[in-house]
Amino acid sequence: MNKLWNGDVITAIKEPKHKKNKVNIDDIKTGGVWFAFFIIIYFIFFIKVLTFETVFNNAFFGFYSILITVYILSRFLLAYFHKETPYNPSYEPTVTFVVPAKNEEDNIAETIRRFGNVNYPLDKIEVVAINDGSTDGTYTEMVKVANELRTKIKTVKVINWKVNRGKRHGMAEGVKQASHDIIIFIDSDSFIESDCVRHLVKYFASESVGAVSGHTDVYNRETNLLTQMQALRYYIAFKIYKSAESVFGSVTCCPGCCSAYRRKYLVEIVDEWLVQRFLGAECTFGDDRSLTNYIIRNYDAVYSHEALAYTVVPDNFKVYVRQQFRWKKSWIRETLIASVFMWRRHPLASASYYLYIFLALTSPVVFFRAIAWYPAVHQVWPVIYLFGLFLMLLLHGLYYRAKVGPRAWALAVFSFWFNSVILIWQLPWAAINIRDSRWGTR
Amino acid sequence: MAVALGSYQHTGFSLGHAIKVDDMNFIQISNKKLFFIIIIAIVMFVLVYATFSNKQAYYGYSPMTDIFAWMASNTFYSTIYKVRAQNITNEATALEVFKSNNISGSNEHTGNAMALPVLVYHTVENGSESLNLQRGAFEDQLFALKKAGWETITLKEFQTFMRGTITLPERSFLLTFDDGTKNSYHPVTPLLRVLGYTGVSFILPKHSIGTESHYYLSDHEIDTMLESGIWEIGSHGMDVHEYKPTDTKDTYEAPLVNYMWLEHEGRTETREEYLERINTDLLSAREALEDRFDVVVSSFAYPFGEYGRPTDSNRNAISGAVMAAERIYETSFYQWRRGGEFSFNYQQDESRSHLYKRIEPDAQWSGEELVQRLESGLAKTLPYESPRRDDEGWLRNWGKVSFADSVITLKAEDFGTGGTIFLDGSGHWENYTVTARLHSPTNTGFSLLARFKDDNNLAMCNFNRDFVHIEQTISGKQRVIEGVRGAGPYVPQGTFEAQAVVNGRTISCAINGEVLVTSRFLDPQLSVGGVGIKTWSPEIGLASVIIEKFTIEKN
Repeated sequence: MNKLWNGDVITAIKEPKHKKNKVNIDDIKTGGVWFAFFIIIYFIFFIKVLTFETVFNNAFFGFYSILITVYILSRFLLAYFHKETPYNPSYEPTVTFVVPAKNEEDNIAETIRRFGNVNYPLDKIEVVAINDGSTDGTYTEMVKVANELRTKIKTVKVINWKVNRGKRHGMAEGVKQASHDIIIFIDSDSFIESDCVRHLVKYFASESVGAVSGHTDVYNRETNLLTQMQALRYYIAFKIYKSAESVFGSVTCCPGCCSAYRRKYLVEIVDEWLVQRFLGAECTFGDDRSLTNYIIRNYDAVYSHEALAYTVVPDNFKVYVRQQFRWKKSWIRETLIASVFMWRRHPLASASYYLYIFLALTSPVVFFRAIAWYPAVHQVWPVIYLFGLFLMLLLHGLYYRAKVGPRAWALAVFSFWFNSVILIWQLPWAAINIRDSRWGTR
Repeated sequence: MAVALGSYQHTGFSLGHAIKVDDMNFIQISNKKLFFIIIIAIVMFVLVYATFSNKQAYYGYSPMTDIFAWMASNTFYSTIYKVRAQNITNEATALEVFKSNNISGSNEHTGNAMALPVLVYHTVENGSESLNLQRGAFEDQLFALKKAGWETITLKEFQTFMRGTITLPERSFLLTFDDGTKNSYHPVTPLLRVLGYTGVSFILPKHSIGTESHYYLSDHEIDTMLESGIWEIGSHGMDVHEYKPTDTKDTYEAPLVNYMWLEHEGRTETREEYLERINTDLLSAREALEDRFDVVVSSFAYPFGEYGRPTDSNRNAISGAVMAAERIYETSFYQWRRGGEFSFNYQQDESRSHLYKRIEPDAQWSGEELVQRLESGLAKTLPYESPRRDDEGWLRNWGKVSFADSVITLKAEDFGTGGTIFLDGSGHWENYTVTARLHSPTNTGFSLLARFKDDNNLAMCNFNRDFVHIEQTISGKQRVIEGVRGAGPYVPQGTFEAQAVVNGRTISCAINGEVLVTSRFLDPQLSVGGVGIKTWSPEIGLASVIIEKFTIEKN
């Protein structure tokens, strides 16, 4: 008994007698993964301490290295203090689902059908589906599933635009058509769990809350290595990074796949948001991030780890790269916009925010120095740099493994690492092409 | 402030007002979570602190990349060394059985050492493209020594052996490393540990104590080194390990054996100033090491191997360093430069009671080559007959020598006047007869060397057509002590036998069994010594002698 992992001893005591002698292999494995997780943290500290002298050889790169470590580890620490909020049955506001869709005939029916199966009073549900000039059978599917839903839900609106106007217009139309307290945006390729609604709306009990991000996992995770890698990325981005932001009510992006907004606050800004221009160009992507930005100017945005949804991610590298590029462009735009008011938020939240901007903008420089400059000029190979990067990603991978159980996590870490290395040029490239509005989502 | 931020007050998180507990809607700081984080933080701190202290102890101020490289390669090589060492042990066991079945005839050999070699290495590089000794070559050399039965001794054992108070097995040697660099320690220790060898590291206190270096060992590393039981330390001097100017023309020389240029006074230092300087230097180096490491530092290695004898690279070297070193250290080491003297240090050699030589193995030598060189330097037993093989231990002082068709051919260089060879490992011989069967194709004179200690201390029978002399050289001063002339020719045509017989203070020279000259007044300093042969002619490039047989028998 003494030899067992500590956690297992506790489990064994709690279990009924007949299970007492059974060693729970999975618990031991998970314990092992957590152990490895902390070993990696130790190893990261260890490297930092041992390379401490070299910090002063080049203050800029030395401090970059310390700051990035502080930033990443502080995300894990803050995420650990993410608050569990219980569902309160006495607070049940009315809810409108808004689904803008274009050329999504395969998924749209399932996306909408799930609104009828939510674990929430159906008389408080409303659905607005917008067909944004699809050239396939999306509209037919919408109408079909709308008719199905009308047996359960009183108001199901289907709006049909012959000509494509863009996702932002679709979302804005949804806001205008909606009549309920809370608007939940669901992407046309995302599917919600039945408890999703109640875990989203519970946060709106606090008047300060303007937006709530759900937790989105990758639906097509098992397709290939690329989707497995994205599954890891999504999981970490929500569980760690959004949790950390949420601690201060300043989640910077409530993603379009599954997020809830208070309609009262949305109508204040929706017109301004719709015609948003940046550097003279119309903003045609990053609509979700942009909308969140309008909200957190005045209100709080939080993350609900229990509001589960699934989304389909690109399973083709070219499409993935294009998506990432688009995200990078909107990241630059919205980050600059948010930086004019983020300093008013909690000191830790704003410090994290500006630190992150600094790190994101300098990382391509650091990358170039380690990968190209040093090998070329000093014949020093970037072993430590790539190893450090890998350790950080491994830390994320171990967290993922410990939380979700056995998956192809190790391969995903390698893939994550590989993609980080080859896609790091995207940010500067996106900055150069910031005004180019092609490659919009719709 | 409140007015300006008024519209944001309901967020609860504006910078303008204090954070109220009520505002912290989304953060949960429970005692359990806090406790967990604090425990993790404490454990991390303790682990990292412990690691850091260990890093200081094991690797000093080395850069991370070096540490990782050492950790990785030492882990890797330790395993390989163990396998190789095990193979050697197995082979040795097999060989032992073989030997015991083939005991050779009676031999006066006791298996005890008469003389000891000292090896010196500097750095052991790991795969770099420099000309320095590479790890692979170093391993080969040490494994070959182990396989051939050579074992290291400690500095103390070396010193007491040299005083004649203990006996040591024949194949014993002292292993030393100069400069106290990281590369003379980290790649070496795992190998020494596996082979059961010990080493002496000659440290430069100036670079190793109180400074941070990526090249030299730090004092923390030396602490760990001494604790390991594998290493001892010696002194390599304080400020005398870098070349310094000796005049205005920027002639840089070794400061321990040259007068230095005093820049601010515009002159070279005087002898008194020189002695004062080197005395202070050697003493302060010893005190610095003893104070810091709390060990007795009884040995000194001359920087650049120079102890004050003019060499090709330093023609103006002056004496004085040996005297200073002798006062401060029990033992001091210089580098042996092939030829001129035996490669081993002979026991109780009173002429140089504290000065010892070291062999620096060449980076290009294979293990077999190093072993062969040490084997040929081993004390040889009488009677002895030569030529046996070309690597039996004939060392050349000057001239050209070749070993072919079972004869030894000794010639002057094309622009030289003669040549000398002597037999390594013969330095302990006492009373013996040297017989050389030889002829000289150019009819030049030759000498048989006896009681040879080094090329400054020896006796010889000098055979010429017109005279035969007995000469002795003490501290480089050559003197004829007996001779015959006028009744020649003393050297016959064709092949004949020349002899030199030494017995106590008596030496006689003979041709074909006929004693031509005898002296009973050999200098007592030449009580023991080895043999050699010399040819000489005033005519350029002429001198030559062909030795068909060279035998030494005990009298």
